[in-house]
Amino acid sequence: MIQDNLLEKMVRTLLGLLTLLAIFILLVILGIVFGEGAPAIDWEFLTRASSNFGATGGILYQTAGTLLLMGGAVVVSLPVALGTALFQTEYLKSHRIKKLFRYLLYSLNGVPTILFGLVGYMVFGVALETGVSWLTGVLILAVMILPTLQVSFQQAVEALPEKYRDAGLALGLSPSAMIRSVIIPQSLFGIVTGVLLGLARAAGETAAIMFTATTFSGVLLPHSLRDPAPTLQTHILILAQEALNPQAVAHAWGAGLVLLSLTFLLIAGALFCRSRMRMESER
Amino acid sequence: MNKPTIEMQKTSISYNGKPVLRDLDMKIPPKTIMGVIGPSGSGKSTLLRTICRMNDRISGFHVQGRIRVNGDDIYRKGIDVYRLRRNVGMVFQTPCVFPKSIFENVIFAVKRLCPHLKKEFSHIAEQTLCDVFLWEEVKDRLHKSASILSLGQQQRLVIARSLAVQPEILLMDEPTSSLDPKSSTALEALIVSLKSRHTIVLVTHNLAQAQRITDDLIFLHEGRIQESGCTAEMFENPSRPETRDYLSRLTGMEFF
Repeated sequence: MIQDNLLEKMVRTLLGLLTLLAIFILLVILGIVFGEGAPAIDWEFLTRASSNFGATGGILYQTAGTLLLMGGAVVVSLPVALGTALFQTEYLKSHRIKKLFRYLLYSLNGVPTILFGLVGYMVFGVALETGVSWLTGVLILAVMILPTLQVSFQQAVEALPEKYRDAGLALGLSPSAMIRSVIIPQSLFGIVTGVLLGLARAAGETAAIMFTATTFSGVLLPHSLRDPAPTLQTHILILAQEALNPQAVAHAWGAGLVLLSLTFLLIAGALFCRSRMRMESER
Repeated sequence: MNKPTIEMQKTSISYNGKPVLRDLDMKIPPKTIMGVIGPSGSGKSTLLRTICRMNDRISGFHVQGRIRVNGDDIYRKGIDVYRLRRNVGMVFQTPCVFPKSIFENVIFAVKRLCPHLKKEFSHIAEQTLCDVFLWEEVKDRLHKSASILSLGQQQRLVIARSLAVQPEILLMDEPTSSLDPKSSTALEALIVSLKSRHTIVLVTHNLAQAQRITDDLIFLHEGRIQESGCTAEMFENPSRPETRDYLSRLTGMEFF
């Protein structure tokens, strides 16, 4: 008995310490990024174009480029992800094929992102002749966030209370009418959550777009589909390599904080939508 | 007896190979209220959902034998199940209104199924809301959210929503069990009034209610129809001991 109690205490202490460690690491990272980045950020930094290879000026076009890539990726990925999610929940009957789909998507999620970049560049950049351009980046990111979007869409649709489905079914709605008038309106918050998480995932990505879609300097906004775009991610990487120029490094931290804040905003939005979704489903 | 609206012949219903209901034989004549009673888990809801093929989505659900609606086998290949469900409406235990206005809720299905009737929508809404005795209560706030209505009003609203697609048959799964006594009484009156135009199958736990408003009764027990027939006769003189046992609870239930 006593030994059991002791064991319980030890396990609890150990798990508690591990949790603290995880939180501590997170806080340290956030603290450093905030501490180093905050001094660099002011209105001019956010609204000016960069100059002198990023050592002076701001990050306006880098931020715009990141938003363009993220937004583009979601626009391309959304219909595919929603389509596959709805096909599986509304039309597909075989559980075996559903399982297979799920495994495929999970393994897609596990592919190292540099491979997405490589294969993506070969497929989109070379075969479709889009080259190093923001379009190539959008397409690669779209494939990459597909599992994130698809899984959260499917979860949202599956979490739909059965009573709504029953009500629609009993009124004689066909599957397509059901999707339009019951499934999508009722799981809208879940779909928005998925979109925000996908955007956050795209914002966090660097490797796959580094050499396929972005450029460091010389470009402001892409003028055609084949132009590359500057992004915060590339900006940070290049500036951070100039460890000797303190001003460039300070700007790298500033750009890092902006990127992090962007991701946090998206995730906070996703959490908010998710809680709304739960409230809806418990009504 | 008129030609039956709903007819089951040697119907067995199983779930993953496990029989839920066996050897069902019954006929429901048009424009009557058929009550389905029986202990919890006896398959009352399953029986009901089978008549409008609501359980199609459930894998492992299987129906053997014949179920006919107006003579047409509803589990035959090639049947238009959406048309069937429009003809056989269903009302559930707790009303499920969509988070839209009262008006939008009533015309919810009509709007999708017959968009060409757009000019008729407000007429249809008024007519069906009158049919469920809700018009006077909501006519001034048709475009307010349906969720502000009481549960009893919501239940009448979803019945109006079903009526709007003009079903011939209404399946009702314990429609009053989540309502207070007053709303419950109002709903019973509504069900009786619907009998003039619709055939109604009513699953109920409330034996007093069954006695008050049903014409015929089916008593389900252990996956079979133990007894069926005219309500008054069955209450007066049940032929099987199981039925007698179950119905004898009526006196007990009255006190609650």
